[in-house]
Amino acid sequence: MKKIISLFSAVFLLLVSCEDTFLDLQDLDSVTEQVYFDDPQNFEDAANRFYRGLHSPSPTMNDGWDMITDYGTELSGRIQDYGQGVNTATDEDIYWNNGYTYLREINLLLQKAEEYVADGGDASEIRESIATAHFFRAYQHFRLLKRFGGIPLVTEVTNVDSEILFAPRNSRYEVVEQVLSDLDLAIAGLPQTATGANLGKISSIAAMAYKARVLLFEGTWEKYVGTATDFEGSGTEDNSVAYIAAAVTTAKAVMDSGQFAIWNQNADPIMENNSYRWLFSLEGAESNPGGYTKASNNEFIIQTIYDFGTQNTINSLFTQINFGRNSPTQVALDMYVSDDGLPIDKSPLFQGYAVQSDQFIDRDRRMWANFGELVLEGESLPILAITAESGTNLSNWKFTTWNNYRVVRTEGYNYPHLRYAEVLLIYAEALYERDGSISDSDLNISVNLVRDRAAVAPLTNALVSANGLDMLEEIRRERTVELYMEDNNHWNDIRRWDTAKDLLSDDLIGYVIEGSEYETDSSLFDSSNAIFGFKEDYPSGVGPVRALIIDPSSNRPYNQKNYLWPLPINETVINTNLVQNPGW
Amino acid sequence: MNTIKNYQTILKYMAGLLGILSFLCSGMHTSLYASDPDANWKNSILNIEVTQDLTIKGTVISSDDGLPVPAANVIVKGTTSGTTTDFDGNYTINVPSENTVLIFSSIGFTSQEITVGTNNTINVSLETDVSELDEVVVVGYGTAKKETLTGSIEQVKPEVFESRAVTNVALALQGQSPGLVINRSASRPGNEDINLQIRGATSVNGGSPLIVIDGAPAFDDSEFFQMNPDDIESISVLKDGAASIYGSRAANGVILVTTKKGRGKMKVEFNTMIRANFIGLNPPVPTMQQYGQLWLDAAEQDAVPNYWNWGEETVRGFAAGEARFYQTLPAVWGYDGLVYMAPANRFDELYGSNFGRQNTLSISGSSDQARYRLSIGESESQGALKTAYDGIKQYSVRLNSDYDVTEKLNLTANIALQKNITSSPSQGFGRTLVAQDAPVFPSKNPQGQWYGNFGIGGTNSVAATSEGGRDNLEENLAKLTLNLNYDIGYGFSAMLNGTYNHVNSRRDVYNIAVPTYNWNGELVNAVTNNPTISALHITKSYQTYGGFLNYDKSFGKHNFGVMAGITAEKNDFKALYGHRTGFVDEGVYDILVATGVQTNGGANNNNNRGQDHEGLFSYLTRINYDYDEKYLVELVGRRDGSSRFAPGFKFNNYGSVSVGWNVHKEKFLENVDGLNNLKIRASIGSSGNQVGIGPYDYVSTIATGTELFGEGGTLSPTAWVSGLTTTTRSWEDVVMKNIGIDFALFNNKLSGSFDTYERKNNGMLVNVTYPEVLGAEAPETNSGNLETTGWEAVLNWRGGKNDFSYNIGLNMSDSNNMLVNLEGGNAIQAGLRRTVEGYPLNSYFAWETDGLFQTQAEVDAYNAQYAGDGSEVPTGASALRIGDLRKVDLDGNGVINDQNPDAEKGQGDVKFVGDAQAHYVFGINLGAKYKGFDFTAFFQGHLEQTVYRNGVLQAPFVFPWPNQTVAYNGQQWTPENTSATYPRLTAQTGLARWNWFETDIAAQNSKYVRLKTLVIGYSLPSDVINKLNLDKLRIYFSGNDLFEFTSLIDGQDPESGVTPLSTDTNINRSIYPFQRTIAIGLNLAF
Repeated sequence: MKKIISLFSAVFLLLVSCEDTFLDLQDLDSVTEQVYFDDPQNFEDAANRFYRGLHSPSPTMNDGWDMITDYGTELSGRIQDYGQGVNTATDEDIYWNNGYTYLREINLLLQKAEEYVADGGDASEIRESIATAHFFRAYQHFRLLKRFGGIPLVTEVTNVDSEILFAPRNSRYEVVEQVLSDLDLAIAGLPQTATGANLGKISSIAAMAYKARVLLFEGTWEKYVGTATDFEGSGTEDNSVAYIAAAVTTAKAVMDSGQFAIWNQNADPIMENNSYRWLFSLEGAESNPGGYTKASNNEFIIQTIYDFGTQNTINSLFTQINFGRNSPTQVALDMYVSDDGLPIDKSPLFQGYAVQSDQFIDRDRRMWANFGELVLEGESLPILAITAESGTNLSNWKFTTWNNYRVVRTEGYNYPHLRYAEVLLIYAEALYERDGSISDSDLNISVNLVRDRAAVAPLTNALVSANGLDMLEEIRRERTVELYMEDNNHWNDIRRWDTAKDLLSDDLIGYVIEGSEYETDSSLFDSSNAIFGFKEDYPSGVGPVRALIIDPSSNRPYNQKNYLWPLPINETVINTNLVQNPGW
Repeated sequence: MNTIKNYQTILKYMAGLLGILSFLCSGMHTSLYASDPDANWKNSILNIEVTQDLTIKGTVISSDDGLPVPAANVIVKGTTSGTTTDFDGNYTINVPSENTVLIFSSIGFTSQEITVGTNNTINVSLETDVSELDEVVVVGYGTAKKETLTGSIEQVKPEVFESRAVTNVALALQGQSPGLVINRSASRPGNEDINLQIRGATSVNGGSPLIVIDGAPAFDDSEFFQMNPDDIESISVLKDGAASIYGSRAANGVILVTTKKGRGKMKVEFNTMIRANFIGLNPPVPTMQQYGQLWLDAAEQDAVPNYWNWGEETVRGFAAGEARFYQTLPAVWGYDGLVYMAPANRFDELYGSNFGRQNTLSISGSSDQARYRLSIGESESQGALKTAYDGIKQYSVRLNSDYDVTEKLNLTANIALQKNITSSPSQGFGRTLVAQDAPVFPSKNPQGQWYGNFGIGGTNSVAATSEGGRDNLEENLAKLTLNLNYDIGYGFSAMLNGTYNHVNSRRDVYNIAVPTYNWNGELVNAVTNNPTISALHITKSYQTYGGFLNYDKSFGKHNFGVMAGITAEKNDFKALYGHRTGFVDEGVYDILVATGVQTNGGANNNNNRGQDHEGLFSYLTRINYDYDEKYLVELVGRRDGSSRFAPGFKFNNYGSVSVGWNVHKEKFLENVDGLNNLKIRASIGSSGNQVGIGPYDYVSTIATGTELFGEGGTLSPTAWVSGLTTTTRSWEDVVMKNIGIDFALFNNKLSGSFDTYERKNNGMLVNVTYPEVLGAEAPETNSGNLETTGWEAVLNWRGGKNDFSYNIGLNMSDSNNMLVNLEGGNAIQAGLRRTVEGYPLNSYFAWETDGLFQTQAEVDAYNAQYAGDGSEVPTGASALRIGDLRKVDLDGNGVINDQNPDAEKGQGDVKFVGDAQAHYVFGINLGAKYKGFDFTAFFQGHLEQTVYRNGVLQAPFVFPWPNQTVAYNGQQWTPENTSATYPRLTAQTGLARWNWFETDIAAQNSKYVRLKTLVIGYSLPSDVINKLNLDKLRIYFSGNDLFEFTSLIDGQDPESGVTPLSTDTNINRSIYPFQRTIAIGLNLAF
């Protein structure tokens, strides 16, 4: 009896005394924030994280591909509501949300860096990580700017009680200043080069190239669009002259660094002047006829590294979906000049539209590279029923691997976010925008390097004047065909040139019908499929002809208000200080 | 192939039977001794000191029908020793003296006390007393007489689990207790995706009832679901403040499971059952001909026909059922768009009937000082998949024993072992099963190779499920329970208890690259190009400790009961996960065989965490007082501390007060004839919900990953702070109020109860909506409010005459919740919205519509009025026509849009149409007995649930590329059928979506009643089984889910609720057919 009572009492006492054994438990498998960031390596690891914010074909945080393609523009048969101008404000916007998620991580590193230095850490040891953070802060702010215009700038670590959460928008001018100053800090802090084991990281020159892109974008936006898209209370500023001038010198500095070059293997006869075709699927020796590998490429300035061997591949349907959906409109096809360097309406080499494949004869090699996959020599492909999905009967070939080198999702080529060709094109465009003219020698160190790869005669002042061309239009054409489908370039271009409001509100043209087999062979085209009718005076390479409309202008109320996306409704509801973009 | 498999199954079953027979033989051998009345040597070994002079024998019968009462208790008054009657009502007991008083009792009968006297034979006739007031009900940390209960506690009897053609305990509980709603989203054994809820939703964070098995919280729901149903003695469902004794985990109610113990002379019971499953409901997938016809019918209705990439000629070929090469539009399919297609009914290829079985064996008994019960269970259940094994095997052993160490000290030791082996194909589930591709691709080409769909391969669900690898999960559970009970005297007793639960699970998943070929036998692709193998090993242990002091004393008519205790629990979790690429099928399926790189298996794998632990420490007390069992009061208090919270925020208090009044005991009702029970109960209690709080949520951790850099492509580490945290958060605080009434009339023939309740979650953990500029998910804070109200009603009738007895039971319940406060809430948009302030959880908002356009003039007028800027009225190829749906401009802003920034919640032309919860859930029990025959039928269903389908098969052509539903065939508008409810067919996606996406006509009100269980049994009469030397021999037929009436028109299982039709790759939510089960079985006892 006594034994039992003492046993029970002892157990009770034991239980009461060991409360902490059950309640005071520490995390067993993660490092906590309090103890991290005490070592330069921690900062490097944290900076490595920012690279997933580069918009690549492997979407992170559910970003879509429309941010890196030309879907919805006048070049693409893939109709998008934002390209038609019929999209409406949504509750949420994934790009808004993601932008600020990335920014918080970036600001956190910068705050931890300050604490690290304050605690006696050596600032020089973490210099590169800090500079990387500045680059990405610029990158994310710029991305928000391109979509929304002015946005609330975030340069501190946000918390639930931060005032910035309910702050008004900064104007686009303030955003650009912040982007440029962050880029300057990045340029100053990053190493000159990023090669070898560091390939894929941002170098000082890469940040400079990015800065040139920002300068040209904003310089021309302010020049052509002006304040038309600014939200109420933005104030007015015009930095276009200074930005365009700075774009010239910044691009030139990148060119002068000598670090990058156009990947042009046309000297190798087996490449048949098609270097451009293989550049975007360059992997192992089997990925192109010339046996070149990734190692031969120093054109990509900012890029995401993929690798088949370690299975870090694209992992998405990027190429399949682009192939299936992103078919070229007639406008896209007609963009490409003939081998003599002349637009098709001026060139004697142009073969007309009688047979679809005729259009490809003696044209810029980039036309074949981008759309040549389905073309059958001497034949026209049948015209499909018109739907928003199928577009036209050709397909986008860019970024697809050659000869079934890789199955979809397993592509391991490096993906370019910014490449040297763009720097050359920035240089030429900015120079012309600055001076109203450009010398042949400047054309030869820029545009003509790119044209040479496409086996097209050089652009010269003589060619322009002899044929009644417009130099600016030819430089812009060069950008359009060279950077097709890359990083939203065309979307940004037609908005900053203020041409989108005309291009996108027009009928979307699928095919020239007049004078072609389509007119005569009903097995190729059943005219009852022309649900939107025809444009009778489409300005084709053979003059005004009848062409098939695949989306009529009546479906396309696109106008200047559509240059910017509306702020997400949830945000304007919660933060009443946010002013909506004009027209939305 | 299939017949061979069936033979194998039969052979397996035969072998099993042989094994059981040999078991039986050995058991009979034992019973020879056991049934020998002179074989007292056995007892004398176990009985240590008590001298027993007299041996009393007798039979206990029911005064009602004169039939023997089996398993009646015969107890020596003033002691715990006693015996029970056998199946014939016979008993034998040794008593110390002639003055001994024996108490005869059995559930459903009034107990009798008889002094032994000089008679050696005492036959007793027990009066039926179907009032269950004397019944002892298991409550939290103890038991209570039903008569003095103040809480809303429902006790489920073990009969519920008997003869059932299901092995999952939860499925047998469906509909048995009002307020306990059990949902399953698939009828796939081992992967049913069961969700338990008591009295509806408690929180946006979910949460399910706490399950307590023999006094210790179950390790996880699976421990309960996979129990051997034959081991369950009773289940108590604690619904109101009575649950507060479980404190922080009680907000969703508590389910108390008690396992069987041994009693009486040694008894061997054997139950066996063989089951057959067959397909019950066919999802609305078409044949090739129907599929082709659907396109043609749509084209007929469309101004601009759309045949997608098929083209008209191909579609016509489908409709005619032609097997041949077809020209399709994309040149990348097949050979330049040439693809061989033929009628291929994927559904019939994949699914069919399967067999299952269940066997249990138990040996139980007791002596004066010890009780034991050993049970062994074994079962196998298979899903409907024909192409590969998809099922679960369960094995269990349980030994429950307790021993009176001294007169006052009792030691209980229970050991339970369970093993579950779930095995399924690892690939081919999800929408690729039958929802994705049209039924036009034969699974094999003429060469006998797997045919790649579209001639380009990649998907082929028959190939993928047959040869694409396996997903094997093996779980081993071991549980040890020790109890020490000491009767101190003077009304005091003390109890110590400890349990140790250990779970080991290992999941091996491997994917094999199954090559697919085109029709000509050329390799085109593989089902996966990236074969991998992974192994996940989890070790979990769970220990609980408790110390309790009880005091029970009566002073005259004042009865007191006090319980105070301390409990402590600790959970440890360790996992090791490996995932390797480069797996090649060499017949060896271990991760070591793969040659590729070791990876973390992708960001989607949340299970590859390392280890964690958490603990709970609680103080609890309960005070009961009643006056003459007439006025009842119960007070409960509990203080819980948890390791999940920051220091300073670890503890929280809970409690409840409940009162009861046994009105029928009042003098003024004493003489009311026929009133046997009338009790009014009321309670208020608080409890907590800890769902949604991770083990260390109060600290920010560093997450790590990798990023690829460098010419050679090397992975560099990445690191980031994972989210925002807060230290101040605590449990959700839930207050439940309940008022109930119990009654029994006409000699207890009619009994019932009614409860109504209100539950408020005042500290619901919600994510306060901050501007997204925050850049992180705001930590959840205790800022939300959810209110739930509801009621439950039970009505039972028992009757009979002579050999015939029957009972009818009805129960029904409903609960409604409303999200009172969510700090901002979400805007209203069309579709399912999980949380909108001012609405129930999971509310549906649908476009209001006003019939179909019947004339072109109506269409024109509508377009003219509404097809403006910002309107969603379709244009172009998808422009509206006669037969399309007319959406109403509900907000009157002149455009048709589901959003309107000017509206309070941003909603445009959408309205609330209902919530996803089932309402008016009911069960109907019918039972009858006549001589040896017994009959049970159980119906279950609900009267209201809003169901809106998502995904590829929701309606025709809302997605043009996948397979299409034929559920609406014949019910859509055509010029000949203008009064149809559903809009015309259209293959223009934009228009199809206009007509179907989140429109009020697409929302279905699901009502159903289903025959869940039908059992017809026959027990051999006693003279026959006596000759066989048996106690019982019963054969039965049992059916599960045999038929239903449902208002759903799309052929889906009404129990699966809102199951989207394959929007994702979640295998349990893919189209897996609903199955019915029939079984035959045998119960044997000796």
